[in-house]
Amino acid sequence: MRVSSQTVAVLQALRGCGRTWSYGYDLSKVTGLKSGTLYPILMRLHDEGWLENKWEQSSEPGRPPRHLYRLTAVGSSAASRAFQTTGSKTRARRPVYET
Amino acid sequence: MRPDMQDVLANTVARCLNHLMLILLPTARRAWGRALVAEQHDITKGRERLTWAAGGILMSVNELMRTLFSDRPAWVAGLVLGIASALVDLHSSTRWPYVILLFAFGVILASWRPKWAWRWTFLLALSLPAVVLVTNNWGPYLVDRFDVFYGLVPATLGAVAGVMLRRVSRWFPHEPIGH
Repeated sequence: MRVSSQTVAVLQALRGCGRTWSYGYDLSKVTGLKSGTLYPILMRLHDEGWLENKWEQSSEPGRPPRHLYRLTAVGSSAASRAFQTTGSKTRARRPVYET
Repeated sequence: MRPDMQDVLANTVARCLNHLMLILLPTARRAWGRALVAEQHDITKGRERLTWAAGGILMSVNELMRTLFSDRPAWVAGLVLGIASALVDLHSSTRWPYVILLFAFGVILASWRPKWAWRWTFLLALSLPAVVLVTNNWGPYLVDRFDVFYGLVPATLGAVAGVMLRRVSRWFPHEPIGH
């Protein structure tokens, strides 16, 4: 799976929550991604088995159930690898100044 | 316009966009669309809700395109068969070989990949106009007429026959050989 900087941002946000479930809107606020970018990323992560989801029934009447997300064990280790790769890429791109 | 009116208008447009998004989304992805809609109940500002709903449209178009252009082997096969039948047509004295080829290829492609089989219809039939435009060889066709598009008919009939063939074959369960 191709891991873009936006995917890394989503992975970081999910990783920060640990085993706690997150809402899509909260992830959007944390990552700064719009829904049109965030949800396709969540879909891909789910397709790869990196993300698990569940529906949460609302106590408020007339309100639809909400989708919750968290990283799977596979996703968590894949996220670590993605952070290392992006970290090394960033370090490689960073200019070296002689002192 | 008063702020509450702006909110009402934004909510109405957002609801319309939500409906459109759910229609456009491939069936397998509808749950994701409903998840996106459910989050809007937590957004208090009308304009922000509208932006969120517009993002849903972007997501559905993205998914639609992804599904449409999925299955690369079938696309390549359709392109090759379409070009082959177009070349046969441009070098043939009658149109029957082209018609028969398009029908046969339509049957093959649609029975092989019945999902969204209309894609193969267009791919097969529009190969001829594409080849004509690229090679600038009009063969037996008149430049001022649209008869290069007549291939849509046999290709569509072939695709319909292919899908039906696939459905009929499901009625007969295949027995494993040797049992």
